[in-house]
Amino acid sequence: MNGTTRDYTDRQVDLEFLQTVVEPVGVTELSFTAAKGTSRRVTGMQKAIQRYVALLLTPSSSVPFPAEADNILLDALRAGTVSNTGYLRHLFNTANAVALDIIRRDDYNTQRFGDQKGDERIAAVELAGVTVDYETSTLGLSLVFRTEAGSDYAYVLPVSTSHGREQTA
Amino acid sequence: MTTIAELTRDAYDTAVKAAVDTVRAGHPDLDLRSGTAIRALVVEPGALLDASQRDVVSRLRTAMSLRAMSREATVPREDAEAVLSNFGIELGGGTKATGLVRVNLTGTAPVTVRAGVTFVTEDGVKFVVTRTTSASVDPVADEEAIRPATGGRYYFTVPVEAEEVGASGNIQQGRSLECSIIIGNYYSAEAFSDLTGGEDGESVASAVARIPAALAYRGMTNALSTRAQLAASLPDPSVLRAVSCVGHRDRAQLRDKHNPLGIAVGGRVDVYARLFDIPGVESFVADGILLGHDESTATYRIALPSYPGFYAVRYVGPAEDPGRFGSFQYELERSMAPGASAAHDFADSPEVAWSAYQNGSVLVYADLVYEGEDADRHVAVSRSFKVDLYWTDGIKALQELVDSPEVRNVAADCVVRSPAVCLVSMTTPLRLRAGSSATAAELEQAVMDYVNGRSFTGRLTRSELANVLIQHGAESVDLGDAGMRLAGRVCGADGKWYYLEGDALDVSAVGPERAMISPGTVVFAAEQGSIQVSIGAGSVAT
Repeated sequence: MNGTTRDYTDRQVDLEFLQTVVEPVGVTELSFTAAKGTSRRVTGMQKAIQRYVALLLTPSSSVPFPAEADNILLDALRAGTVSNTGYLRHLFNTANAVALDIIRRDDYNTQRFGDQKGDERIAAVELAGVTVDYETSTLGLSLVFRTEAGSDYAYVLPVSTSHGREQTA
Repeated sequence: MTTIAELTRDAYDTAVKAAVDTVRAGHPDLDLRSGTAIRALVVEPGALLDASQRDVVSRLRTAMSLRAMSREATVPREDAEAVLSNFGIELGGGTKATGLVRVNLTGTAPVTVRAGVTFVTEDGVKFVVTRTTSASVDPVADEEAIRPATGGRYYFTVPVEAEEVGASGNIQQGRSLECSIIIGNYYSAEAFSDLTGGEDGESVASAVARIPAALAYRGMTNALSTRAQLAASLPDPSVLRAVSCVGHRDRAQLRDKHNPLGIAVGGRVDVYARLFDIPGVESFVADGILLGHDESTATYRIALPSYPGFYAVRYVGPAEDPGRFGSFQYELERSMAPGASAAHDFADSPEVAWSAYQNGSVLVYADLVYEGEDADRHVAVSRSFKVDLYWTDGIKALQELVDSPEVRNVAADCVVRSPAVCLVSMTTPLRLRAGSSATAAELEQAVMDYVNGRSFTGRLTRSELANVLIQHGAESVDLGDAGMRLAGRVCGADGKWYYLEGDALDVSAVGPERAMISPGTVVFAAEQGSIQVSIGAGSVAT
């Protein structure tokens, strides 16, 4: 793992589907661009964040038997019904709670999924700020992730509000 | 193939869990939690396929399993038919209701309704016109007449049948119908008379219930399959009241002891089929040939006509005046039909008793009847007698069945016989319960029904009959010396009558082996008049 200062050997791995998230210094911007070239394995915080993003932003109608709650955040953004940041924060908090519930349910089911270090377990996510790029119809969600190990990570999560373009930033 | 829309969430979740466990068993280093890419790309699509296959397997299991079909409340008819066909069973078809529809018109212009046009009730039951029908005021050839009706209307009728099989097509006269096409001057339509004849097809559950019997039909390998085989061959299976199979080590099985040591070696089965409630009686007139006489009695021999499987002689009297006397004294002589020994290993005449291979004659000891005049006067050398024979038809047909190559048991020689009948008589005094309105005739009938409804039980007791009477209104039945009397008589294969009396009629040890009387060969029966109840004369409560 480039730039990481942690030892991630013997951790469970996932496939990379977001651009590489390096250990952040300050604020890092995530991209939904699919990983190109040779597929890579990811683990650690990078794995945890892309898992969270997948649960938060996967359109509810795109997969059979989606997670327990509909993705009201993405649906509202696409429908253009989010008129102010207060409502956006409300929608985010709701979608965030659903995503974290799903994550915790599996994280604590160690019998089925195995053990996981505390620095891979997201304890909380806060919406620190919102920016809007009108050129690309993209919303920038500034998120702060806190792990159960106690570390905080800040990212800007770009969310396209256009149908059909949700995979590009 | 099951589609995603047909899958349930539970089925999908179960498949996901199975997929996670399977993949992790081989690759514990892969993170398969919700939201991971591997789960989205590998586990969840795989689980969808797995859930789909599980659903298909489940459907197949239901569609191909008799046990599952029996459990399911509703089984698709085509699935049931496919499985049932493996056992040679078809679902009963049912019929369509038919009748006439009255088409009401506002005018008298000629009208034609083509075959195939439908009429439908308000709740959707469809009827199809079965014959193209033209109607006019002055009908010619096959045309229907347009007739005047009330209110300035006119009508004619068309023949229809229900589109679907079933009783739902049976609708009452006057039931309103809608026509599927536009008919000139059409006003309304209704059932001209009751549409009838619609019958539902056999339910799947009913057909599934027949499967065990159908399986049993495959061979006469045990008592159950033998009974099923015999019942299936009868136009009305319910006439087969009871079946008993007498085989190895039964004292009434004589045919498997045909060896120098006289020990039972098996391989012979006698099937006793009760085809009656009350024993049937056949009456006929036959000529007896004089064998000899003394001063008061003439002995005649009557060759009995062919009544395959007859049980015993009930009565022999003079043909010219059968009501004048009670029965003459007589003796039944059984004999083997030609070829019987070769067909089923009969050694002598008792062994053919009650079978289709039994012939018989009767020795009658009658009063002297003379013929001729004066010096030529002599005892009549031939005399007509009325003979009553206990006989119920059916034994010969059943014997032909068991002899047929389709069902013949290759391991055992099988002979069908009518059962020996222990004719029961009972008299009893009794008291009725307060408020009971039972009559003596009703109580007697209840006892008759009970006795005649029993199978090969070997034993009939007074206590059983007392219980029957109490259930039908008796308060108490006297079982003391002056109370209920129970008696029975049974004719053995040797032609002799054996008498039983007492608290229980037990046929387990009656007569010698050659009489072939055993619990497996004897049924109890009560004829009209043999059960007599006296109400109000009871004295000792039971």
